[in-house]
Amino acid sequence: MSGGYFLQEFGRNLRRSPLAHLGSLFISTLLFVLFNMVWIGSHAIENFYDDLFSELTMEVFFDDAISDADFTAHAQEIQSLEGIAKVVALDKDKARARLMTKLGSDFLAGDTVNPLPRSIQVHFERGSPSQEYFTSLNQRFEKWPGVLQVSYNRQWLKAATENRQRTSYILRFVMLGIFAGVSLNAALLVGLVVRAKTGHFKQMRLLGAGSWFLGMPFVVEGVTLTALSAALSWGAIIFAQSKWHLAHVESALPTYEEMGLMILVATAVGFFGALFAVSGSRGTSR
Amino acid sequence: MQALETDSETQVAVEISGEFLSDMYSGDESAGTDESKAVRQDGISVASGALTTVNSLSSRAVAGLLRYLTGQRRPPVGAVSVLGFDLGDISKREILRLRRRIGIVGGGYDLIAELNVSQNLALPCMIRRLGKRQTQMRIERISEALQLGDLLAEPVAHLGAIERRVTLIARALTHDPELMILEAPLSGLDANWSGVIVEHFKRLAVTGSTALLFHEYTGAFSKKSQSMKSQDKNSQDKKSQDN
Repeated sequence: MSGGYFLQEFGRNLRRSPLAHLGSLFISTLLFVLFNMVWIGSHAIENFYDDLFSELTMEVFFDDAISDADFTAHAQEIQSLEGIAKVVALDKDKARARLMTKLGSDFLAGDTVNPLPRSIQVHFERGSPSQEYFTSLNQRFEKWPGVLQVSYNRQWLKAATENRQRTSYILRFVMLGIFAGVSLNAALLVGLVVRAKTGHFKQMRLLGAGSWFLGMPFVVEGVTLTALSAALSWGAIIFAQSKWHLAHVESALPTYEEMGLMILVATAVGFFGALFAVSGSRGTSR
Repeated sequence: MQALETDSETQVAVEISGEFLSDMYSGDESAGTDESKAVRQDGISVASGALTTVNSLSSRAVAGLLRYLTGQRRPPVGAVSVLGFDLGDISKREILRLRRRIGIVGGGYDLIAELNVSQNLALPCMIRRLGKRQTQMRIERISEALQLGDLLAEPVAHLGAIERRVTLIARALTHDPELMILEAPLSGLDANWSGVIVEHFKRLAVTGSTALLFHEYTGAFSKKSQSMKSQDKNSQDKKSQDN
């Protein structure tokens, strides 16, 4: 009986102020579209940084004191570590050839001894590298006997990591702000409807209706509004995705499970927004 | 004040102290009448199972008193008690619980304009969480008793003053309240509707319902309440003869 009454009340509120509801739905949907775009953008940025970081290599140089067998064993050990895509062992001759390629001429021509050290080039899997990961590997390799130097672009990695974190924080803040905006929008709508029904509330209170009975139709309203607008926003994004593709940008559309989760969270946001509006507007008169 | 006691019931449904009434109505225009003085001295006491009428207070005074009786205003501790609740020392939650147990006409109670008559009648039952079938049965019963007939489907906004009044009385009775408090129930009603309402109260008097009826004038309703009294006495005589 009560469930039917709550839905009927929701229907009556809709009929009483259709434009307010439509406007609120429109604003919430636009806010969620913005949220979705920021979310997709953050995924794309993460992918971009993953690609960038995976191009970073580390090189471990060894002195001449260690044997070739030990050198090969170290290369195999590195290969077995988690997150390593590929290991390239460079003996003295390959190191000389690489120098020649880089400089365009053989600076060691005529020398009887090759002074260049042997080294192991380490390539990483996508998504694995981070500043902490590189630091831990560096510390590990430096402890090995015969290691002269561990080389990678520390400054670049530090700056890129900071940029990545800063971007991530900003995007999360923007997403939270959008959710707060949606919650406020739901609260405003419910507050508006509640204020228009103060006489109704007074009568219901006099008949003995408690907060739950009075507030539930408005909570249903807030929840329906946000859930519907969240679903519509994904509909709009999927439609746009099917119509237009951006060149050179990898699509980072969330999975359907993630979309469902987002709609659930949006529903909860609407619930709390409406609850806040109802408890704030109903007043405490006896 | 005329208390129409049904038997030796000792439970008190409503108790309003004389001291509180004296303080409350010290400047009231009805304060000078003998009956008013008696009410102020003795206070008002409504026994469970009795229909009690109070005729000596002005409508303004009654409207004020109803706000205390329904918990809209807080009286001093110990001054007013309703169904065992001391309204001077009652929580908000208890006020709501109390309101669900009583049926009221007056004291700021009104119909909800955007609902129809039937939906208005259903509200007290819904608030008491009665089932759909039970609510429907009660609406049909009160509708039959008060001859609401075609009114049930009418939106409240389309009702005239008399129909609104009758619907308000019907809503106060739909959920079978433990106590009815009605301010001038026949006020503004024509002879036909008055007859229907009085007949219904006669039936309620026989069944041992508890009600407090306020009326500004000692005329029309007082006579009717007298007839309730005689009806009530007849039923008691019948009971004692049966025994």
